[in-house]
Amino acid sequence: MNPVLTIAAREIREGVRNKWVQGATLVLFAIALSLALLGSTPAGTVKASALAVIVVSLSSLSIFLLPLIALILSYDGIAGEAERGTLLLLLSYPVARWQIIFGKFLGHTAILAIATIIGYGGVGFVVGFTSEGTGDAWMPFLAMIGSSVLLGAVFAAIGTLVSAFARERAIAAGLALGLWLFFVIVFDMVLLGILAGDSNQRIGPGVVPYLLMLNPADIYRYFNLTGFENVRTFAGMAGLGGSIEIAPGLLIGALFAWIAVPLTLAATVFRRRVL
Amino acid sequence: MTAPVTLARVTKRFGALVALREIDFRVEPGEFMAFAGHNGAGKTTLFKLILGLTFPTEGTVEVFGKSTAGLGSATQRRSIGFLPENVVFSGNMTGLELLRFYARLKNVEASQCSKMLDRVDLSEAANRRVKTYSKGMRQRLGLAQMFLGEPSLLILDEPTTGLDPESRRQFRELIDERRRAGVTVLLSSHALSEFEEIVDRIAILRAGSLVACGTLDGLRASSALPVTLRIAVPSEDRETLRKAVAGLADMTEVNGSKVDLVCPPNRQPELVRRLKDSASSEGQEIRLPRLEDIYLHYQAGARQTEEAKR
Repeated sequence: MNPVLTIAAREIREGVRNKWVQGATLVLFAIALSLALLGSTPAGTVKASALAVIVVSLSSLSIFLLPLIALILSYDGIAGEAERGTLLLLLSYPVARWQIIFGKFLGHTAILAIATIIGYGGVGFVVGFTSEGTGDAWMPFLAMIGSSVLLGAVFAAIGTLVSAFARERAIAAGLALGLWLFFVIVFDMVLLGILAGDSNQRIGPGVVPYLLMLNPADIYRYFNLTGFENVRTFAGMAGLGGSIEIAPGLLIGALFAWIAVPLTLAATVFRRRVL
Repeated sequence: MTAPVTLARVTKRFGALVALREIDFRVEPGEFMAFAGHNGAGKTTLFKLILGLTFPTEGTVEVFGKSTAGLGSATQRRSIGFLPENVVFSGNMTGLELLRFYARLKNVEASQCSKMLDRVDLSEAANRRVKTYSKGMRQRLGLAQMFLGEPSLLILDEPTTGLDPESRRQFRELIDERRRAGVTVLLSSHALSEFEEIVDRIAILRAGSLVACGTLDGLRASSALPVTLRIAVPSEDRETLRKAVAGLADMTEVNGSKVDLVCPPNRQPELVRRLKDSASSEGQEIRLPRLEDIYLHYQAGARQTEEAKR
């Protein structure tokens, strides 16, 4: 078997047994389910389909939890092995350094994908088949699951970079937590602050969506809340989405770039690392 | 036959720090070579160079006749088994799972794994998670991964640190078994006397320099460390004995029944002859300088040279 796949398979096995990952996934599923069951209550009155409601609430939830789970999985990848002494051992085998990086990333992404597809898919089935008029909301829902996997992959790549870069496991953990806070909370607050302070409107309205591209969490949000007409109406994004539009394909492309760049950087940093 | 390992004038610097200084040696096929040195003497760096995990600043390192720059090549790596210092295997995997993982990376058949676990006496614990293993069991698992694919060169960095005496013996026997099978072994250890009987050559490192390298007998001879003869002598005969060996050996009392006679190695035959004439002595026991004594001798010598330079 190819070394990349061998390493990925081991990461999957270990990740599935990781108590932190188990706990976070359970929380994700529990919140998703309660959002689905409680969130579908008002569906009848606003005439939005239950599934469309769920796309909005679940994508808001994913922005917080998926990056966190991805970082918990990946920050330890290289730094942890270095600390336990197994990294030297692994490198003494016929394995190239980039193969270790890609193998770990692939394994972590696979775990995230499995958790997302089972968790969200399960919730989708429960809601989709218990309420009426969900037909046109299936596409946005599937797109939400797909983009959630991508969001997880982005943060798995970022976590791998942190892990290849940090000299110690504790530093890697701190950096990962800091990045999570930055992308999920701080970035939007700072951007909002700048826009609010920009009373002369020097930053034109057309620029803002592109500023959002600097944050993978925002790309994900933008994609899920504005990508489809029926969801957009419900998300209160109709005005925004209509005036300044970035094609969904471009948004997905941007997410892929957010995977490729950190991963390439991680491979470069790791290749140059003095053992 | 190509030498498994050849180092020619190897210097390794990390910035201003000189980790290794002009190291020269050659390891012959089937040889068991032990590396001794204080912490930070450069043993681990030396192993990393041989494994191709880092490269020399000056000089060349060759493994099986090829520069380590090509060590990324799978064939070369497959013929090396390595056990790093203080390795802690992931606790969430079972011993067998972990071994299968390493076997796949080395392109070794999965069926070999149970054979290797059996060799290191871990068959019963094969399906238990590694976190339930004792330190000795984990080190043996380390040996099992090292043996995968029957490599012809084994490199072990401080393998017995923290093991209890029983595990140490078991460990030594497993290494010795490989050595007898013709495998080349490079090993670093603090517990020198442990491997005294099975090593072919000893290399002593101090602050990045190779201060001595040779067989145990060779190092004994060149160190000229005194030999001790321990003999049983009744206390009333001790004064006669002291006179008999005067000018040849120093006598110190060990306890009520025994004394130690310490003399330079080249005068040992003469001492033995003189003792034969004195009927009062019996139960002779010759104590040659041990590896540890030789090690300390060379370390002290190197320290003096360093101080003289300053």
